[in-house]
Amino acid sequence: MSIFIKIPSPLRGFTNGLKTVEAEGATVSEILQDLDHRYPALRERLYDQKTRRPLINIYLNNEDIRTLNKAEGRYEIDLNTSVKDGDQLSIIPPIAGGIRRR
Amino acid sequence: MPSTQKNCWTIENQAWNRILGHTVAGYPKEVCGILLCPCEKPQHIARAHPTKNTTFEDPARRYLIDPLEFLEVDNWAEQNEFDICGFYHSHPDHPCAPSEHDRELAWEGYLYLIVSVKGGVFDEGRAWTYDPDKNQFTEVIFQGKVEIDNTTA
Repeated sequence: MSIFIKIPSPLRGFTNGLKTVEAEGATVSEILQDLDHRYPALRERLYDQKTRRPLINIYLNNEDIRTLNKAEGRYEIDLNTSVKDGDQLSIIPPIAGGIRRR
Repeated sequence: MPSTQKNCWTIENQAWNRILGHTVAGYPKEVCGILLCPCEKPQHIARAHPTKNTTFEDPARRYLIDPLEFLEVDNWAEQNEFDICGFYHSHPDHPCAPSEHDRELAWEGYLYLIVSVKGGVFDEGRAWTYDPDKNQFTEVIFQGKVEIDNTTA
C-alpha cells in the first residue's frame, strides 16, 4: 500500500526537491525501509549512525506514534504502527536548544 | 549584494518586532518560535510564529518546540505557499551566541535566530546556519534596515 511522507525543507535536497514522497509498506518500519531504499542519502539524517535510532519525530496523520520504552525510561517511535493506503507520515526534526547548564 | 547569496537574509519589520515582543515578554524564561519564508523567497523571513516552550528541563535555560505545533504550522505554511525556514529562541541574561546544546541539536538548512534579553530588555539579535561537515555555525548577514518598534522591544 502507498503512503505519503512529508519531507521537511532541509531534507528535500535528498528527495529531488520533493516536499512529499511516496513509499510502500504496511507498518511505519516497512515504510521507512522503503524510503531508505528509494532515497539512501536520507539515511544519515534520519538515524543515529551508532545506535540506529531515529533522530526525528514521526507523526501519522497528525498523531504522535511514540510509546514509552519502560526499560530505558524514554519515549520512542513505535515502528510497528500499522498504516493504511493513503495515510500521511510527517518527518519532523527535533527543535530544541538553549543556554548552558548552570 | 543579492539576497539569494548563501548567508545574506532579509526579515520583515512585522516579523522582527513580533520576535522582539515575544522574547522580551517571556523574560526571564526562554521563549521560542518558528520562522516562515515565502516558497519563492527562501531567505526572506516574512512571518514569525511564537510557539510554546515545552521543555521538561529548566525553562530559563532550555527550549523545546512541540512536534505537533511544528506540524500545525507546517500544514498552514504548505497551504499558504510558505516554508518553515528556521527558528528563534531567546537567551535570557546570556549572550546571543549559539551554545554547545544549540550545536548538538542543530540541523543544516535551517536558520537559527537567537535574541539576547538582559534584565528584561532587548540586548542583541543574531542568526546562524549550521554546517555539519565542520560542526560549526556560520553567522548570517541581514540585508537592509530593520525598524525596531521600541514599544515592544
